[in-house]
Amino acid sequence: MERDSENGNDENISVDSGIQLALDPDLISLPLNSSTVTPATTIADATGDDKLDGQKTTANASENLVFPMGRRNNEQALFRNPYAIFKQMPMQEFIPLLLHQRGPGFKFADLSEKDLIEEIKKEQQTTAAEETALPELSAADQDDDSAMDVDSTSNLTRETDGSGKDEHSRDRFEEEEELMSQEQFLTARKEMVEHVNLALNESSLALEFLSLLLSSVRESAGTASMSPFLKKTVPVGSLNSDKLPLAHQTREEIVSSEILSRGWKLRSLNESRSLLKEKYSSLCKIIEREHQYWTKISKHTSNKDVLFKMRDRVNGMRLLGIKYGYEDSGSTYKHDRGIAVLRNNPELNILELVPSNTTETSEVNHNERFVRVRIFTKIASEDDYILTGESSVNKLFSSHDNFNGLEDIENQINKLKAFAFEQELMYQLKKESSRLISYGVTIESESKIVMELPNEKFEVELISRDDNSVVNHDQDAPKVNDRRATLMVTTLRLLLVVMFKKNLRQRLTSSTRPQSSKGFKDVLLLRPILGRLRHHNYKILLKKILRDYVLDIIEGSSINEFSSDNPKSGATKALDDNIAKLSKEINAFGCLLNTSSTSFRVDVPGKGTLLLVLESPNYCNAVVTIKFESSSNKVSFDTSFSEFKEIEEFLHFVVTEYMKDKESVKRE
Amino acid sequence: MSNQALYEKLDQTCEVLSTKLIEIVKLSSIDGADGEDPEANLSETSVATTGVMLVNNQTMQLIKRVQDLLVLTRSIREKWLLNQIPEHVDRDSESTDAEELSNLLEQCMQEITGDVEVNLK
Repeated sequence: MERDSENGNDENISVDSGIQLALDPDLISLPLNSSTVTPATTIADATGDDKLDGQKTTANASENLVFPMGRRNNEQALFRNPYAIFKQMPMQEFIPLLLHQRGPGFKFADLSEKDLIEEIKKEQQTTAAEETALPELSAADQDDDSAMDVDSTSNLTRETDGSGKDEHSRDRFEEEEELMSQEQFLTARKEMVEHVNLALNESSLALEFLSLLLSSVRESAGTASMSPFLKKTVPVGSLNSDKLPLAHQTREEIVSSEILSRGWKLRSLNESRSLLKEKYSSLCKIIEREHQYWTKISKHTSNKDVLFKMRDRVNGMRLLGIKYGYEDSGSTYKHDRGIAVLRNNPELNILELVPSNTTETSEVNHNERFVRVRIFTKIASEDDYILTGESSVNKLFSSHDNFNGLEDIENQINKLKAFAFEQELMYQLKKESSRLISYGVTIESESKIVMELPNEKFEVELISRDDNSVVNHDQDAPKVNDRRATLMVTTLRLLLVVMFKKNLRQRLTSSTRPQSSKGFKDVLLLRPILGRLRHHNYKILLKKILRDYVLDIIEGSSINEFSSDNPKSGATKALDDNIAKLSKEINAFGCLLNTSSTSFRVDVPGKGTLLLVLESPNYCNAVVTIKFESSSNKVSFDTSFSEFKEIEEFLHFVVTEYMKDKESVKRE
Repeated sequence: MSNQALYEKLDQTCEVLSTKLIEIVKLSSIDGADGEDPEANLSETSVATTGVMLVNNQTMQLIKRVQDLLVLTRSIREKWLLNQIPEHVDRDSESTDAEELSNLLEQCMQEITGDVEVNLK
């Protein structure tokens, strides 16, 4: 109510004093001010301000315009606004100041509205003459309450007193304020006011809550303390409350919760029991499998097998690998390293050996091939070849017995070993054959080498064990050259072993790592055999020539043949037992590896001897050295030939020149 | 893995196994804690749930350790298998006499070539 009246008054004032209200900084910042002071004072201030400013404006426009600024920033004001200071002054300071201004003998109690009105009226009359008196009149005119009076009158007084008095009062005020700066004071006040407001807010909220709560029971009592806002927005009596008794757990509840917890416990124990049981059985199975696996491994592998750990390239499983290849035995074959994986086959519950080829991932069958030698003999009349011999099939290769033997790792390993060996044999044979084309060796296809001799043809073939000719081999009638073919195959295999041994010896003796494949020079498989065969043919040819050109012409001449294999001095310094053993083993093959050489000694009675040495330095060629010694041990000729035609001519010459003449003389 | 490490692993695993078993046995007591105060009743359910969880947890650990033991046996077996040293077999006895071998080979070669001679004549 009070507020309303104040506001009304305020309006009146503003109307009275014109439009300056909007310019009044105090009015503009009214909310702030109202928060800092009690409503009553604010209004009082406002009215005072209003009135004053209004007066001021009418009197002195320029001064009035400056006022707000000066009020706002008191500290650096262009000129002091004493009014502002007075307004902010506490009463107990202000009243003495007022009394002082009014002069001695003036009592604050004497200051009444009536007097002030009169004063103002007086001033109004003399407005034109005395400008300074004007505000006092108007201010007094508009002040209603006595409380306000003090404030406004003091202001008025100050104004009326003129600049001199004004100065004085301000000085005094500043002296009193020395202890605390204006700013500090302002902030402190603001802070305090905020706290008060907060408390007010809180308490009013509490009051509102309680009122609302109460309104449901005692409506009149509740609504009385309610704020209009709450009344408007919330229906009366819309909040209710009930008293809740603190319930004690009953015996049944306790029991039921105990039962629940026990039930859970039992259930969890049961679950863990079944879990354990399940895992137990599955682990038992695993143990069983593992046990079988390892028993088989211990049964079927010996400490001679090369075993190692490896991982499956597909699923990264831990596996045991077994090496059956010949790499450690001196093989340099890189296409199949001969590694297999020992794997337990869960369906058949057997141990399987799965070859893992690094290069070829083709089907297993592809690798189950072996070398077979067939001999074809030329039919002179028909200019055609007829099969006269075929190497027998080793039992190891004969297939289809593997269902019984599948479990036998040893057997499987042996088989894999054999096939790996055969593959390498063919590989090396092909390597060698590529250089032997001038001696009638041709590579007919990927897996077939043909070796042609004047009367015979040898076919070395890598053949699958499932090939028809192999499967039906048993039914074939035995042929003349079967044994030779078998021997030949065996010899080829032996020669490969010798190659391995040589490699091993080299590895052991030379510190430098040997080049993986020295190529043609190191491979000695076909050449020893081919050399032998060719040498044999050369021998026959040479004998024929000798017979034709010497023996048949010169009577009484005799021929002696002796093979003059000169064994290489095997006395290599044996540094190591193993090397010595290897050397010994290699030397045992000397008769195969050494190039053959045959000597013929033709004795012509009374004329001397003819010595012929047939040699094949590179196994396949033929070099004949002919030496003629006369009876007086005088060497007449010592020449070597590589063409049989030349030998014929030379022999003819020797015979006619050195032997035949006497013989012919004899004969004639 | 060295023998020492294997032993240690075995010991550790056994220890864990036994402790876990003990814990399970403790947990399996049905009467629970003998606290009869009213607060115990309030947390009865929480005790029960944690009990369930613990039992499950210990059981899993138990199984895990048993599996560890299995892995251990496997590694021991692998160790045994891969660390075997081949016995040095005196192979001199089975190796054929070099002389004899040489003769045999000569015979063999002669047979291979000798037939040719026969055929020729």
